[in-house]
Amino acid sequence: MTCRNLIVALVVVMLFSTLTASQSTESLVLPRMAWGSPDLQGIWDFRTITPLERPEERGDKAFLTEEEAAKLEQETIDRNENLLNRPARRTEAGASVDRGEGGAPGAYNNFWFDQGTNTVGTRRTSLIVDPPNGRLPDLSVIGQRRTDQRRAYLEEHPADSYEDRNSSDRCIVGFNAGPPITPLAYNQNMQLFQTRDYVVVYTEMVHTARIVPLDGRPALNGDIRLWSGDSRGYWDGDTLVVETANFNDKRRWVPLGSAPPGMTSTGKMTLAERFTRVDADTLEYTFTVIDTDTWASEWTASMPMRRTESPLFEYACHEGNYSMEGILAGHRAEEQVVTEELR
Amino acid sequence: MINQLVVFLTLTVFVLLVPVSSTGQPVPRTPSGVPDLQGVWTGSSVTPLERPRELEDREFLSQEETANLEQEALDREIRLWNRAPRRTEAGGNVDRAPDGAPGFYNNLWLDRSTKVIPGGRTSLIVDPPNGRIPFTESGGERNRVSSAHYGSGPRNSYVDLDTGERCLTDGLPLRYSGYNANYQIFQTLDHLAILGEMFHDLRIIPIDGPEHITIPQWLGDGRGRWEGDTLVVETRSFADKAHFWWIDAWRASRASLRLVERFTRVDAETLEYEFTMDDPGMFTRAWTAAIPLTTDQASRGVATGPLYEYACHEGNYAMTNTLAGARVQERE
Repeated sequence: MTCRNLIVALVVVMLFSTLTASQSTESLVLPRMAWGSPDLQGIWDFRTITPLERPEERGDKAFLTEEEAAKLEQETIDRNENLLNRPARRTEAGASVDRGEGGAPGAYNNFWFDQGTNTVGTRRTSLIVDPPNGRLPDLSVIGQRRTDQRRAYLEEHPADSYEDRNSSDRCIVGFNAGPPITPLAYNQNMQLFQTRDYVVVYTEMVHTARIVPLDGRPALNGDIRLWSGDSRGYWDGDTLVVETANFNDKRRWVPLGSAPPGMTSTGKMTLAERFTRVDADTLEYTFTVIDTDTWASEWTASMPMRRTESPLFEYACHEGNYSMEGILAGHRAEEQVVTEELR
Repeated sequence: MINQLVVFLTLTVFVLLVPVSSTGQPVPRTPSGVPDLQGVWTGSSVTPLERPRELEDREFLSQEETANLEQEALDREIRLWNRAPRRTEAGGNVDRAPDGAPGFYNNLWLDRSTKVIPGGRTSLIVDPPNGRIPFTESGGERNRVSSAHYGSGPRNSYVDLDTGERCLTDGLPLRYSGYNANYQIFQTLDHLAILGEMFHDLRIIPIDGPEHITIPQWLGDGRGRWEGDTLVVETRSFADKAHFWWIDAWRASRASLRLVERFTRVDAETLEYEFTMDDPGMFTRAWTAAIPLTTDQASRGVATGPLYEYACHEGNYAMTNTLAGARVQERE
């Protein structure tokens, strides 16, 4: 065998082995960084129609059948289609098109929502995997008391000032951005940047860039309390674990849409998130919340995030937050009506 | 011979891949081999953007002038730190301005540099050679109107106030003012992400990515490319709604602005940052400023450590008070 033949043979063998490798193990070969960690980077879409909590009517049913999932997805598509095609109507003072319960003004119309049309791949009936009933744990005694007090306060003072509104109404933290990230409504994307020493978790909602050191540095002193807490990350095999504490008390995070009025977490909450790239297009995201001043036990939710190429929208919350003015002005008008009635 | 050739080639490649900087230190590189631009960077200094009139034809300060300027800045800091505490009273602010306007933060809240930039240039602007912004007539007028606007209103609504006072953004390029003057840079194979301490407005810049998008945005649309060891970032599609009613009106980006920034890692502690503003309506020519950024915050006499969190809106009681004050004035 001449030298040239050997080279040709080697090239053929290499080419063949590359091809077979990519064919047989495509779904198993995870993208990796130059230094060997899994590559978790990209823009991740966490929309899903699977609710955080299992709907009560599902009882102890943890998984949907294939047919049930397909039906749910089709119903969502049909609903979106109907809402898109309904004739234009004009909202009039005192009579919003989508007027809510008890005469409350409606929300955005469907054009502004972007909720997805898919259930999670596992067909679980809830994102919550623990407790096993798929629902948020009961409030702890102290959590219940705080919730009752807060609810009573908000009934009396719904909007004395912008400070009575929650931090997402105020554009300070995003209602689905957490941490932890919980699917809801719109702007449900996260972009992740990764270096050897840091991960940056950047949410489209309110553009919070959470910087997670991976270099083993100690956590911040407990006196420093932050809106997004203080995060530290490490690799557990191929899973990135991010542990977060030092939340501030003003944040009052709750999974919006699932929490009863007045319910809020505390600054004592701690969070453990796990990010696992399970294939080229899927980032599995699981988080555990511990806040015994709110919930009687810890709870865990899990969801897939899907890779997308669409870039994030820019941050433009405050400058378009005319609702804040509207809410405060509305309550002032209401007060005036009450005052005049008393005369 | 072949072995020797291989060794020779390997060495050549190695030498080619590891150029050293002008300071003799190797330039830090990412695993992919490009210069590593990452870190927490400050560009704070007492060097002004524009060359002061009295230094008209002087490009550099002498060593003595540098030392004097830095000593003056330090003395001012020490004087302000050591002055006796005084209580602000209604109508009688401690740092009341000569025209009766309320004063500013006291020095505890500021984090001003006491150092001239390395090299001792008299201005951050390196081009045009006179070190000053080449405003067009209308650009200069716009600048004067903006500066006059600050502190005088109108203040009918929060939208009348400076975009920075509204906690929205101070726009581009990188900016080094009196506090929160740090930027943290993250870099991946195909992205640069720049997080500003002041507004936490993270800029995501694709490197060698797709074409510019044309949707107008507050911070425009930035795209990066490597030119040798320099990352060149070109930004366009600025939203025409930013206004800075202060002395920084030149920053009020317009849709016609083309901004080019150059990031060159010089050594372990230094990132050379250059920006070129090109906006024919505002400037008679493109102009360029150069700011050496450092990871050694102490060398510029500013606070050391990581970035503070973003907490502008929730503490922005000045907005309420400014508007309430204007309403009281109207009634009077």
